[in-house]
Amino acid sequence: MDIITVHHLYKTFGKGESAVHALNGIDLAIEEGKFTAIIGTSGSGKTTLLNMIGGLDTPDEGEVIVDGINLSNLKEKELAVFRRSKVGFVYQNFNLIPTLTVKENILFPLSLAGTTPDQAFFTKIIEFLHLQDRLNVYPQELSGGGQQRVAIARTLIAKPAILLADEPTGNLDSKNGQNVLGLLKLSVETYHQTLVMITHNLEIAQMADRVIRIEDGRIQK
Amino acid sequence: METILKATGLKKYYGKGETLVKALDGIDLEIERGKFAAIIGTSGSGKSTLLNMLGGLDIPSEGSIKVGNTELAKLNSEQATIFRRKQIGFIFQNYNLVPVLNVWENIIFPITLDGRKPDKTFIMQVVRLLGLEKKLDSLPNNLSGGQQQRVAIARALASKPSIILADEPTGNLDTKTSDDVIGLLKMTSKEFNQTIVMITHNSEIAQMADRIIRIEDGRIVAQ
Amino acid sequence: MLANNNLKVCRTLVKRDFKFHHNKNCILVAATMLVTALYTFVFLLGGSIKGAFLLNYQYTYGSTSQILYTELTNQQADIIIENVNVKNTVRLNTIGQLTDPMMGQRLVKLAVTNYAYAETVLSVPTTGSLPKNDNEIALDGFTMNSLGIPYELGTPVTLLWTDLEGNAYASDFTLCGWWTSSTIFTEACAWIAADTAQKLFPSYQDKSSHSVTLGVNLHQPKNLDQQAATILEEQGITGVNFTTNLAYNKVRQEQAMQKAMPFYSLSIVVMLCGCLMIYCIVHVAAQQDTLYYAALKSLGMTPRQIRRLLLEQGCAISFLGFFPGWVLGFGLYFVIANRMILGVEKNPALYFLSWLPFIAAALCTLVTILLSYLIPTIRLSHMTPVQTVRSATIYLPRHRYSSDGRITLVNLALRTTFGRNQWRTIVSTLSLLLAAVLISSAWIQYVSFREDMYLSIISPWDYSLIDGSAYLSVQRYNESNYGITEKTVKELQMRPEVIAVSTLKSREVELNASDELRQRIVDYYNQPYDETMTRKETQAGYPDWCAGVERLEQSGEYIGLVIGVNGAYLQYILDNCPFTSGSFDDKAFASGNYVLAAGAYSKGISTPAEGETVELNGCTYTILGSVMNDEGYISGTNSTQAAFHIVYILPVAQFDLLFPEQAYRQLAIDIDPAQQDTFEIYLDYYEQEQNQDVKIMRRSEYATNFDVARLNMVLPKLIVALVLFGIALINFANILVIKTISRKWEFAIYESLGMTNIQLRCLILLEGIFHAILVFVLLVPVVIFFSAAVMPAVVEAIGSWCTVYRFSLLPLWGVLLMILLLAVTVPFICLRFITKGSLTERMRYIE
Repeated sequence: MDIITVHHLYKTFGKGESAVHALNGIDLAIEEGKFTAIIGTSGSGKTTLLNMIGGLDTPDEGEVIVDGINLSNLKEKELAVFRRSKVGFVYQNFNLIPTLTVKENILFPLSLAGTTPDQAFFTKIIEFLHLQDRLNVYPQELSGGGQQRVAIARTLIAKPAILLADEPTGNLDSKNGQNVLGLLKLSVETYHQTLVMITHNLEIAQMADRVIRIEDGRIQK
Repeated sequence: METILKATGLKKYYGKGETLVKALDGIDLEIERGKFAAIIGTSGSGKSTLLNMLGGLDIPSEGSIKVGNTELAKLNSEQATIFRRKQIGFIFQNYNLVPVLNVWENIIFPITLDGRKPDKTFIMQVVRLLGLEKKLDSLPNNLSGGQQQRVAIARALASKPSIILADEPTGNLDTKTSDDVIGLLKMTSKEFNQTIVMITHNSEIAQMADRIIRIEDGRIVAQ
Repeated sequence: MLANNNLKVCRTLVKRDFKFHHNKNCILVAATMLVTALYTFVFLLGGSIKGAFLLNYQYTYGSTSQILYTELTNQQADIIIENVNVKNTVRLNTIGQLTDPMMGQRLVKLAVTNYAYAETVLSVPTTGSLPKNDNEIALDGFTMNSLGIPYELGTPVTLLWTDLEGNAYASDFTLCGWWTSSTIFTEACAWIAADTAQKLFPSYQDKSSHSVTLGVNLHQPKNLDQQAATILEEQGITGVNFTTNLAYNKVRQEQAMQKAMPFYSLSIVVMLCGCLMIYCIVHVAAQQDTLYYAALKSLGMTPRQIRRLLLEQGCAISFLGFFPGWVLGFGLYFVIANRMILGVEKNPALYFLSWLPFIAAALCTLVTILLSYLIPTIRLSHMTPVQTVRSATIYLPRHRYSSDGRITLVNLALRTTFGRNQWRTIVSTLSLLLAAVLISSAWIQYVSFREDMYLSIISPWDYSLIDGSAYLSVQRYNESNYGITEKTVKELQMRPEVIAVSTLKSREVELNASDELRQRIVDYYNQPYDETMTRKETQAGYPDWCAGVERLEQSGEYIGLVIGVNGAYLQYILDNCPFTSGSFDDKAFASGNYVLAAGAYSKGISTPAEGETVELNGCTYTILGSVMNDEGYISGTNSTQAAFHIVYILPVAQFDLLFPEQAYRQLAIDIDPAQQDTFEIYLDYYEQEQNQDVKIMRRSEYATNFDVARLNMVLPKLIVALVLFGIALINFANILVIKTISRKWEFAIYESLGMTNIQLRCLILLEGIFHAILVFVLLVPVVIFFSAAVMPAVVEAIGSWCTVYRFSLLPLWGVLLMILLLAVTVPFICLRFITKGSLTERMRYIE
């Protein structure tokens, strides 16, 4: 079953001569529970595509359907709700909020939604990510790998159906990178999630169920 | 062979008491002229701090650094700056491009600061090699991350410094471009007898170096 | 090897900075403009106040020239003009003087029209023009009043006059213009055309005819008497008389400077506040740009180049701010000067205009801006690039917050408002605080002026009728004037509205002091006034007064001012003039055997004392008592010779016996307030029917004057405070804008994690309110403390007899309201801009 369907996606940044065609007609379907890797040179449109799927950006043309929801039909508020309930993001630069402690960062999406956290699930996640001793420190006090684990915990807490990761190991050394990757794979298997990941690293791409190569805003067969 | 970079008993501590962080904890290092050294290590191991020290961008808590015959600690900040821009080319992780200057102006900026005339033929050669010839009039903000990184590399090479210090110069480049960049660095270093010290995560790139320095917890663990 | 340093590159970077960072630079230029405007304003105003103060003395002197040489021959005048010290001259040719007996003591010269000279003696016709044709004549209002000439152009006039050789004539003229000067000069001119002069007294142009008066201005207007004599000596001229302008007396100049000091000293406030505020803006900008400077440094920009960069930026911003600042400052000054400076015929704002204040303002602005740039410059140039970067990265929150990990919007807002580095907020609050304190102080000063106290002293009666020659304080009362007649007094007393009419007459008489009295007075004025000078020395700015005391000391001769009073005037004296010897006895005073002696308003007896006698006009009086004379009830001034005098007060009835021909100097009228309207109508009618020689003063005018004067007292301070508040608000808004915009990335992250727009707005609103509260907490206690604890002393120190400290926090509430408004609205406006574009773009922004 396809959890993500993308039709004829176009996106252009800028105008006139300096216009960049980030997405130039993308059609894509991703099956539920699979690990998909997106590769491509810098500026090929990988990140733009991932952001479209996550409802962070709107296409100029075409549509994105995630878990039966057509994103182009959603209003701004509904999009916010969609983001915090259906998808979880993991970024290269972690995007943690510096003024909040680790625990607060992890629970932040739930706080925004006003839902009570499932204490048992929370404990499970932090143990799973080895964060139980670090809950009351600030993200800046952690190493890069530690910060990325916090970011993953924040993503998992909302039990999203889909994990979107933009070079999650890009700022980590290979040992930490392997570690984070293992955790992501484990999470996908444990909670039956769909993982879409952008990477430069061909070794990592080899681990995926499917590899999509994007060049100049188009999918290369 | 002649030693161009020499660090003795280098220490750098941040904070006090409980929050004391030992970024560098006693580093002794010698690098010979014309060599290509790669520094590897986990994030937070002190790699960037070491590189900044070697380039005189930061002052050690203890220890001394000698570039050629010059003891960095003996220069005042004015002299240190002038020495740095004549002798050392930096490739920064965050590029440090001047947003109000266009690509060409950025590339020749350190030379301009020094009040020298840029060697146009050489710089254009570098620019073409990095594929920037069509972007010379653009402002950095209108470039992609990879393009910005290439501008930063061109700038470091432009003044033909005797030492190039690079902090993950290929982090944002795809494999092909990054191979080209490393090739270019190696080539220019041969031609001008330059010394390269480079931080990298990429073990393939590290393999291309004459020498690999591994740092853990502020100490050199393997050479 | 290390010498190469390219400084030109700094200029390129400054130019680019202006091209790319419009907002920052616009804010800086706007702030600079306001600072320049303030400097221009206070300097111009101070200069004008000083000028106006001196001009008043020039009015008393009768000319704005520094030296007047009189009775020169044409040849002598030509020689004097050639002296190197002479800057410029004006020249008057006289053919004789008017000798009509009705002129009294006034000397009116029949002179050849000379516009430049007429200007210096303030005798340019305000109606009609200077004579151009044969037989035309222009006269001053006082002369016309004395001679009974109707105010109508073209009226035939017959004048008696004597030429320089002493021959008397009666000549016919046609009136072609007149001027009503606010002052009565003992010397005045009657202007006739050159042709007329040639016809009437042809020899005035002879080389040997002493027909010339020469007004001289010097390059260095100091020690005028000495210079005037030196000029004569150098040019080899003897036997020439001259007078010098009192306004250029050294002590006068110092007094004028003192008058202007409150305004000049405001420039120190401007310097302090301006520096702080611009520093805030520069600092915030520099803080924001720290990464930029760090990059420049790491690329090899030396500290010297960084300093040069920032200083050039400061200069560029100053130069851009100068011109609009001058214009704005001049505009402010133009409005205020016309309100504050009275008694100058021409527009005072333009009359006193000079280019110096503009240059001074520009220099001060430059100093202010460069000082503000200095601190970040020093800070930046002493850090290594890595230290610079580290100084720009976010501080770790100092406090550990305990929570269950779930964070509410209120919590988040609290965390972002209070948890971060508060330096910027504190510095910006400091400038708001200074402005708020200044506004509060101006306001409290304003409300501390009490109208009732002022009126009870200045206008204890409802109306005054004053002889036209004694209306203004600078006017010299003309004893031979007959403005207020017996008929008028009778008529007033008969009016149904009038409750009481009190009268006052005065007369100067030559007196001789006994040796004892002479010694007493000399001793009195030789007593120390304070640690530095004696009472006499405090009067050094008034040479006429000093001459009077000298004369008394040497010969015992002095001028007595005999004043006849009754009713309200007597009551005023008894209420406001403390006795230094003796006491008041109603019957004895009325009997005609006793007088009150009145001297300096200061402790000790400076007059004949109780029981002594004085002979006035042949009658001997016993002193009933001596008082400290509060001269507030007497209008106008007395003659120059009487600058030093002793007052003898006696009932009007007795005064009339002594000087039966003396007219009224002033009347005080009290009316039934219910009938004010009909009385005002009567007064209007009276004013129109009577000649211009009587002035009416209404208490209501005093009240209006008081309101104007009260506002004028605080207006410059208030304007400076308000403009500084404006700069502080710009700074505050700037910080809010920067704070909000710098969080573009943060907000994008919030949104990407599922924060809705409404939640984001809520967060912004809460942060705005918290920020405002933070400012309030810093602001309110200080302003309250200042208003309650410091201001009473300030009001005491700079206030006058009609001020009583009053507590008021009205400006504080206004300030707080503005802050709250800005704190809430500015981030909202910014939010619209930073939430433009897709989340992707916004999240990439930071990279």
